[in-house]
Amino acid sequence: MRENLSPQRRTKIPDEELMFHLARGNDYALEVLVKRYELKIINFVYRMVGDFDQAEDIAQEVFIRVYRHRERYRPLAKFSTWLYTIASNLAKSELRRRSIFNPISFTRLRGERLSSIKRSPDKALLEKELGQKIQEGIGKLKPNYRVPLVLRDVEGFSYEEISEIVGCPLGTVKSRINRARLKLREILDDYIS
Amino acid sequence: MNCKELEELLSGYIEGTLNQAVAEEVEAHLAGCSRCREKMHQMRALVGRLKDLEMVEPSAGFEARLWGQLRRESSPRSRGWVFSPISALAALFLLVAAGYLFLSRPPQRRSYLISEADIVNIHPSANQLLGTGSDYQTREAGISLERFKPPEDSLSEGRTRYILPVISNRPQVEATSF
Repeated sequence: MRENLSPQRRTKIPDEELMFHLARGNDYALEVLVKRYELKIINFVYRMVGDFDQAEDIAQEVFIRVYRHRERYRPLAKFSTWLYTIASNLAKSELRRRSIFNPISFTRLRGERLSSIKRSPDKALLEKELGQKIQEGIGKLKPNYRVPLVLRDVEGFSYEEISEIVGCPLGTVKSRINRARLKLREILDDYIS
Repeated sequence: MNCKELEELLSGYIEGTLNQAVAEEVEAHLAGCSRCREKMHQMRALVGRLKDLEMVEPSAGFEARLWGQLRRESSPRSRGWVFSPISALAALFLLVAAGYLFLSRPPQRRSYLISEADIVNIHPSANQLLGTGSDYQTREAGISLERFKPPEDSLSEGRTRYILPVISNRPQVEATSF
Protein backbone atom coordinates (compact mmCIF):
# COMPACT_ATOMS: atom_id res chain seq x y z
CA MET A 1 0.00 0.00 0.00
CA ARG A 2 2.80 2.36 0.90
CA GLU A 3 4.35 1.97 -2.55
CA ASN A 4 1.18 3.45 -4.05
CA LEU A 5 1.73 6.60 -2.02
CA SER A 6 5.36 7.22 -2.87
CA PRO A 7 6.59 10.82 -2.68
CA GLN A 8 6.58 11.03 -6.47
CA ARG A 9 2.94 10.15 -6.59
CA ARG A 10 1.58 11.65 -3.41
CA THR A 11 1.37 15.23 -4.65
CA LYS A 12 -1.00 14.10 -7.38
CA ILE A 13 -3.32 11.98 -5.29
CA PRO A 14 -6.64 13.66 -4.49
CA ASP A 15 -7.45 14.16 -0.81
CA GLU A 16 -10.48 11.91 -1.06
CA GLU A 17 -8.35 9.02 -2.32
CA LEU A 18 -5.91 9.54 0.54
CA MET A 19 -8.82 9.30 2.96
CA PHE A 20 -9.83 6.06 1.26
CA HIS A 21 -6.33 4.66 1.94
CA LEU A 22 -6.34 5.99 5.50
CA ALA A 23 -9.67 4.33 6.26
CA ARG A 24 -8.13 1.03 5.13
CA GLY A 25 -5.25 1.27 7.54
CA ASN A 26 -2.58 3.11 5.58
CA ASP A 27 -1.44 5.76 8.08
CA TYR A 28 1.04 7.12 5.57
CA ALA A 29 -1.95 8.73 3.80
CA LEU A 30 -2.50 10.86 6.90
CA GLU A 31 1.12 11.97 6.78
CA VAL A 32 0.51 13.27 3.26
CA LEU A 33 -2.70 15.03 4.29
CA VAL A 34 -1.01 16.62 7.30
CA LYS A 35 1.83 17.91 5.10
CA ARG A 36 -0.73 19.25 2.66
CA TYR A 37 -2.95 21.05 5.17
CA GLU A 38 -1.06 21.78 8.40
CA LEU A 39 0.00 25.28 7.36
CA LYS A 40 -3.47 26.20 6.11
CA ILE A 41 -5.26 24.85 9.17
CA ILE A 42 -2.87 26.48 11.65
CA ASN A 43 -3.30 29.82 9.86
CA PHE A 44 -7.06 29.50 9.60
CA VAL A 45 -7.38 28.70 13.29
CA TYR A 46 -4.89 31.44 14.17
CA ARG A 47 -7.06 33.99 12.31
CA MET A 48 -10.03 32.69 14.25
CA VAL A 49 -8.63 32.58 17.79
CA GLY A 50 -5.76 35.11 17.53
CA ASP A 51 -3.40 33.03 19.67
CA PHE A 52 -0.63 31.03 18.01
CA ASP A 53 -0.15 28.37 20.72
CA GLN A 54 -3.85 27.71 20.91
CA ALA A 55 -4.03 27.63 17.12
CA GLU A 56 -1.44 24.83 17.07
CA ASP A 57 -3.23 22.88 19.78
CA ILE A 58 -6.53 23.14 17.93
CA ALA A 59 -4.88 22.22 14.62
CA GLN A 60 -3.49 19.10 16.28
CA GLU A 61 -6.94 18.21 17.51
CA VAL A 62 -8.29 18.70 13.97
CA PHE A 63 -5.91 16.06 12.57
CA ILE A 64 -6.55 13.72 15.48
CA ARG A 65 -10.25 13.91 14.71
CA VAL A 66 -9.60 13.22 11.06
CA TYR A 67 -7.77 10.08 12.12
CA ARG A 68 -10.37 9.11 14.69
CA HIS A 69 -13.27 9.48 12.23
CA ARG A 70 -11.41 8.24 9.16
CA GLU A 71 -13.95 5.50 8.57
CA ARG A 72 -16.90 7.87 8.82
CA TYR A 73 -15.71 10.19 6.07
CA ARG A 74 -17.73 9.90 2.86
CA PRO A 75 -16.35 11.40 -0.33
CA LEU A 76 -19.73 13.04 -1.02
CA ALA A 77 -18.20 16.13 0.58
CA LYS A 78 -14.82 17.47 -0.44
CA PHE A 79 -12.16 16.56 2.09
CA SER A 80 -11.12 20.19 2.51
CA THR A 81 -14.72 21.17 3.31
CA TRP A 82 -14.92 18.43 5.91
CA LEU A 83 -11.54 19.39 7.37
CA TYR A 84 -12.45 23.08 7.67
CA THR A 85 -15.81 22.18 9.22
CA ILE A 86 -13.95 20.35 11.99
CA ALA A 87 -11.49 23.23 12.35
CA SER A 88 -14.13 25.97 12.47
CA ASN A 89 -16.24 24.02 14.98
CA LEU A 90 -13.25 23.56 17.28
CA ALA A 91 -12.25 27.22 16.90
CA LYS A 92 -15.80 28.34 17.67
CA SER A 93 -15.88 26.10 20.74
CA GLU A 94 -12.70 27.77 21.95
CA LEU A 95 -14.22 31.22 21.39
CA ARG A 96 -17.35 30.18 23.26
CA ARG A 97 -15.25 28.82 26.11
CA ARG A 98 -13.36 32.09 26.26
CA SER A 99 -16.52 34.19 26.26
CA ILE A 100 -17.70 32.20 29.28
CA PHE A 101 -14.47 32.10 31.25
CA ASN A 102 -12.86 35.34 30.10
CA PRO A 103 -15.60 37.66 28.84
CA ILE A 104 -13.40 40.76 28.91
CA SER A 105 -10.78 39.61 26.42
CA PHE A 106 -12.34 41.33 23.42
CA THR A 107 -13.81 44.22 25.40
CA ARG A 108 -10.29 45.22 26.24
CA LEU A 109 -9.37 45.29 22.55
CA ARG A 110 -12.45 47.30 21.72
CA GLY A 111 -11.37 49.97 24.17
CA GLU A 112 -7.95 50.40 22.59
CA ARG A 113 -7.24 53.40 20.45
CA LEU A 114 -5.30 52.24 17.43
CA SER A 115 -2.20 54.25 16.57
CA SER A 116 -2.12 55.62 13.06
CA ILE A 117 -0.24 53.35 10.70
CA LYS A 118 -0.37 55.93 7.95
CA ARG A 119 2.17 58.05 9.80
CA SER A 120 4.75 55.25 10.04
CA PRO A 121 7.80 56.03 7.85
CA ASP A 122 8.89 52.44 7.29
CA LYS A 123 6.86 50.51 4.73
CA ALA A 124 7.69 47.03 6.03
CA LEU A 125 6.83 48.10 9.55
CA LEU A 126 3.64 49.65 8.24
CA GLU A 127 2.67 46.39 6.56
CA LYS A 128 3.42 44.39 9.69
CA GLU A 129 1.43 46.73 11.89
CA LEU A 130 -1.46 46.75 9.47
CA GLY A 131 -1.46 42.95 9.56
CA GLN A 132 -1.65 43.09 13.36
CA LYS A 133 -4.46 45.63 13.26
CA ILE A 134 -6.39 43.48 10.82
CA GLN A 135 -5.93 40.47 13.11
CA GLU A 136 -7.20 42.54 16.02
CA GLY A 137 -10.10 43.75 13.90
CA ILE A 138 -11.03 40.18 12.95
CA GLY A 139 -10.96 39.33 16.66
CA LYS A 140 -13.64 41.94 17.28
CA LEU A 141 -16.11 40.29 14.91
CA LYS A 142 -18.66 37.85 16.29
CA PRO A 143 -17.76 34.21 15.50
CA ASN A 144 -20.72 33.83 13.14
CA TYR A 145 -19.31 36.65 11.03
CA ARG A 146 -15.65 35.89 11.60
CA VAL A 147 -15.77 32.33 10.26
CA PRO A 148 -17.26 33.07 6.82
CA LEU A 149 -15.12 36.20 6.39
CA VAL A 150 -11.88 34.32 7.07
CA LEU A 151 -12.97 31.40 4.88
CA ARG A 152 -13.80 33.74 2.02
CA ASP A 153 -11.22 36.52 2.14
CA VAL A 154 -8.24 34.78 3.74
CA GLU A 155 -8.68 31.15 2.67
CA GLY A 156 -10.36 31.84 -0.67
CA PHE A 157 -13.30 29.41 -0.46
CA SER A 158 -16.33 29.86 -2.70
CA TYR A 159 -19.62 30.95 -1.16
CA GLU A 160 -21.05 27.48 -1.84
CA GLU A 161 -18.19 25.78 -0.02
CA ILE A 162 -18.53 28.16 2.93
CA SER A 163 -22.24 27.42 3.04
CA GLU A 164 -21.36 23.71 3.42
CA ILE A 165 -18.66 24.32 6.01
CA VAL A 166 -20.74 26.53 8.29
CA GLY A 167 -24.02 24.75 7.56
CA CYS A 168 -25.94 27.92 6.63
CA PRO A 169 -27.94 28.80 3.53
CA LEU A 170 -26.05 30.54 0.74
CA GLY A 171 -27.97 33.82 1.20
CA THR A 172 -27.10 33.93 4.91
CA VAL A 173 -23.43 33.34 4.14
CA LYS A 174 -23.33 36.16 1.56
CA SER A 175 -25.08 38.53 3.89
CA ARG A 176 -22.78 37.69 6.81
CA ILE A 177 -19.65 38.14 4.73
CA ASN A 178 -20.87 41.52 3.48
CA ARG A 179 -21.66 42.68 7.01
CA ALA A 180 -18.35 41.35 8.31
CA ARG A 181 -16.50 43.33 5.66
CA LEU A 182 -18.46 46.49 6.44
CA LYS A 183 -17.75 46.08 10.14
CA LEU A 184 -14.06 45.39 9.62
CA ARG A 185 -13.83 48.39 7.29
CA GLU A 186 -15.39 50.52 10.02
CA ILE A 187 -12.92 49.19 12.63
CA LEU A 188 -9.94 49.83 10.37
CA ASP A 189 -11.27 53.08 8.95
CA ASP A 190 -8.11 55.02 9.85
CA TYR A 191 -5.74 52.54 8.22
CA ILE A 192 -7.15 51.67 4.84
CA SER A 193 -7.71 53.97 1.94
CA MET B 1 -31.31 53.44 -4.12
CA ASN B 2 -30.30 54.87 -0.75
CA CYS B 3 -27.02 54.43 1.14
CA LYS B 4 -28.37 51.59 3.32
CA GLU B 5 -29.53 49.61 0.30
CA LEU B 6 -26.19 50.16 -1.36
CA GLU B 7 -24.34 48.77 1.66
CA GLU B 8 -26.11 45.45 1.21
CA LEU B 9 -24.83 45.21 -2.35
CA LEU B 10 -21.24 46.35 -1.86
CA SER B 11 -19.67 42.87 -1.71
CA GLY B 12 -21.57 41.76 -4.79
CA TYR B 13 -20.47 44.92 -6.59
CA ILE B 14 -16.76 44.63 -5.84
CA GLU B 15 -16.83 40.92 -6.73
CA GLY B 16 -18.70 41.62 -9.97
CA THR B 17 -21.54 39.20 -9.21
CA LEU B 18 -24.47 41.66 -9.51
CA ASN B 19 -26.62 41.57 -12.60
CA GLN B 20 -26.22 44.38 -15.12
CA ALA B 21 -29.27 46.42 -14.08
CA VAL B 22 -28.43 46.36 -10.35
CA ALA B 23 -24.76 47.12 -11.02
CA GLU B 24 -25.79 50.20 -12.99
CA GLU B 25 -28.00 51.37 -10.12
CA VAL B 26 -25.08 50.97 -7.74
CA GLU B 27 -22.79 52.95 -10.05
CA ALA B 28 -25.35 55.71 -10.36
CA HIS B 29 -25.52 56.00 -6.58
CA LEU B 30 -21.74 55.89 -6.19
CA ALA B 31 -21.32 58.64 -8.77
CA GLY B 32 -23.42 60.98 -6.65
CA CYS B 33 -22.36 59.91 -3.10
CA SER B 34 -18.76 60.49 -2.08
CA ARG B 35 -19.24 58.77 1.27
CA CYS B 36 -20.46 55.51 -0.27
CA ARG B 37 -17.73 55.80 -2.88
CA GLU B 38 -15.09 55.92 -0.18
CA LYS B 39 -16.73 53.00 1.60
CA MET B 40 -16.61 50.96 -1.60
CA HIS B 41 -12.91 51.79 -2.20
CA GLN B 42 -12.05 50.89 1.39
CA MET B 43 -13.87 47.58 1.20
CA ARG B 44 -12.11 46.72 -2.04
CA ALA B 45 -8.72 47.55 -0.47
CA LEU B 46 -9.56 45.55 2.63
CA VAL B 47 -10.57 42.43 0.66
CA GLY B 48 -7.32 42.69 -1.32
CA ARG B 49 -5.29 43.08 1.86
CA LEU B 50 -6.91 40.11 3.62
CA LYS B 51 -5.72 37.81 0.83
CA ASP B 52 -2.13 38.88 1.47
CA LEU B 53 -1.99 38.47 5.22
CA GLU B 54 1.34 37.13 6.38
CA MET B 55 1.25 33.40 7.14
CA VAL B 56 2.42 32.02 10.46
CA GLU B 57 4.69 28.96 10.34
CA PRO B 58 4.16 25.87 12.50
CA SER B 59 6.59 25.63 15.42
CA ALA B 60 9.49 23.18 15.16
CA GLY B 61 7.87 20.59 17.41
CA PHE B 62 4.40 20.72 15.88
CA GLU B 63 4.60 17.54 13.83
CA ALA B 64 6.49 15.58 16.49
CA ARG B 65 3.77 16.42 19.02
CA LEU B 66 1.06 15.54 16.54
CA TRP B 67 2.54 12.13 15.68
CA GLY B 68 3.05 11.43 19.36
CA GLN B 69 -0.64 12.04 19.98
CA LEU B 70 -1.64 10.04 16.93
CA ARG B 71 0.47 7.09 18.08
CA ARG B 72 -1.33 7.14 21.42
CA GLU B 73 -4.62 7.43 19.56
CA SER B 74 -3.86 4.39 17.40
CA SER B 75 -2.65 2.17 20.26
CA PRO B 76 -5.01 -0.78 20.92
CA ARG B 77 -5.78 0.43 24.44
CA SER B 78 -7.18 3.77 23.32
CA ARG B 79 -8.86 2.44 20.21
CA GLY B 80 -11.43 -0.08 21.39
CA TRP B 81 -13.44 1.18 24.28
CA VAL B 82 -14.61 4.61 23.39
CA PHE B 83 -15.82 4.09 19.89
CA SER B 84 -16.65 0.42 19.48
CA PRO B 85 -20.41 -0.12 19.39
CA ILE B 86 -19.86 -3.79 20.26
CA SER B 87 -18.05 -2.84 23.48
CA ALA B 88 -20.79 -0.38 24.34
CA LEU B 89 -23.48 -3.04 23.81
CA ALA B 90 -21.56 -5.59 25.87
CA ALA B 91 -21.17 -3.09 28.72
CA LEU B 92 -24.88 -2.28 28.58
CA PHE B 93 -25.79 -5.98 28.66
CA LEU B 94 -23.59 -6.60 31.70
CA LEU B 95 -25.12 -3.61 33.48
CA VAL B 96 -28.69 -4.79 32.83
CA ALA B 97 -27.85 -8.37 33.85
CA ALA B 98 -26.22 -7.20 37.09
CA GLY B 99 -29.23 -5.01 37.91
CA TYR B 100 -31.64 -7.87 37.22
CA LEU B 101 -29.72 -10.30 39.42
CA PHE B 102 -29.53 -7.77 42.24
CA LEU B 103 -33.22 -6.90 42.17
CA SER B 104 -34.47 -10.45 41.79
CA ARG B 105 -32.49 -12.09 44.60
CA PRO B 106 -34.66 -13.49 47.42
CA PRO B 107 -34.91 -11.42 50.62
CA GLN B 108 -32.48 -12.58 53.28
CA ARG B 109 -33.78 -13.65 56.63
CA ARG B 110 -31.57 -13.17 59.60
CA SER B 111 -32.49 -13.83 63.19
CA TYR B 112 -31.11 -12.11 66.19
CA LEU B 113 -31.65 -13.30 69.68
CA ILE B 114 -31.58 -10.09 71.65
CA SER B 115 -32.77 -8.75 74.92
CA GLU B 116 -35.81 -6.53 75.11
CA ALA B 117 -33.60 -3.59 75.96
CA ASP B 118 -31.90 -4.05 72.62
CA ILE B 119 -35.04 -4.12 70.51
CA VAL B 120 -35.14 -1.32 68.09
CA ASN B 121 -37.19 1.62 69.19
CA ILE B 122 -38.37 2.65 65.78
CA HIS B 123 -41.65 4.24 66.82
CA PRO B 124 -43.20 5.57 70.05
CA SER B 125 -45.84 2.87 69.74
CA ALA B 126 -43.11 0.27 70.13
CA ASN B 127 -43.16 0.95 73.85
CA GLN B 128 -46.87 0.15 73.96
CA LEU B 129 -46.46 -2.92 71.83
CA LEU B 130 -43.72 -4.18 74.07
CA GLY B 131 -45.91 -3.51 77.08
CA THR B 132 -43.22 -1.67 79.02
CA GLY B 133 -42.32 1.93 79.69
CA SER B 134 -38.61 1.47 79.03
CA ASP B 135 -36.62 3.79 76.90
CA TYR B 136 -35.29 1.68 74.01
CA GLN B 137 -32.38 2.74 71.91
CA THR B 138 -32.22 2.32 68.19
CA ARG B 139 -29.72 -0.30 67.17
CA GLU B 140 -30.75 -1.15 63.64
CA ALA B 141 -30.79 2.07 61.68
CA GLY B 142 -32.81 2.54 58.51
CA ILE B 143 -35.77 0.26 59.25
CA SER B 144 -38.95 1.49 57.64
CA LEU B 145 -41.48 2.84 60.17
CA GLU B 146 -44.45 2.07 57.96
CA ARG B 147 -43.45 -1.55 57.68
CA PHE B 148 -43.31 -2.08 61.43
CA LYS B 149 -45.97 -4.73 61.96
CA PRO B 150 -45.46 -6.72 65.13
CA PRO B 151 -47.33 -10.01 65.26
CA GLU B 152 -50.63 -9.99 67.09
CA ASP B 153 -49.34 -12.13 69.92
CA SER B 154 -46.45 -9.86 70.61
CA LEU B 155 -47.59 -8.95 74.10
CA SER B 156 -48.02 -12.53 75.20
CA GLU B 157 -45.81 -14.11 77.84
CA GLY B 158 -42.29 -13.29 78.75
CA ARG B 159 -40.68 -14.38 75.47
CA THR B 160 -42.03 -12.44 72.56
CA ARG B 161 -40.93 -12.56 68.99
CA TYR B 162 -40.99 -9.29 67.08
CA ILE B 163 -40.70 -9.38 63.34
CA LEU B 164 -39.44 -6.20 61.84
CA PRO B 165 -39.81 -6.52 58.09
CA VAL B 166 -37.88 -3.99 56.05
CA ILE B 167 -38.15 -2.59 52.54
CA SER B 168 -36.76 -4.16 49.36
CA ASN B 169 -33.74 -6.41 49.75
CA ARG B 170 -32.59 -5.33 53.16
CA PRO B 171 -32.34 -8.21 55.64
CA GLN B 172 -35.52 -8.98 57.44
CA VAL B 173 -34.87 -8.79 61.15
CA GLU B 174 -36.48 -11.05 63.64
CA ALA B 175 -36.13 -9.82 67.17
CA THR B 176 -37.01 -11.94 70.15
CA SER B 177 -37.39 -10.46 73.57
CA PHE B 178 -36.94 -12.59 76.66
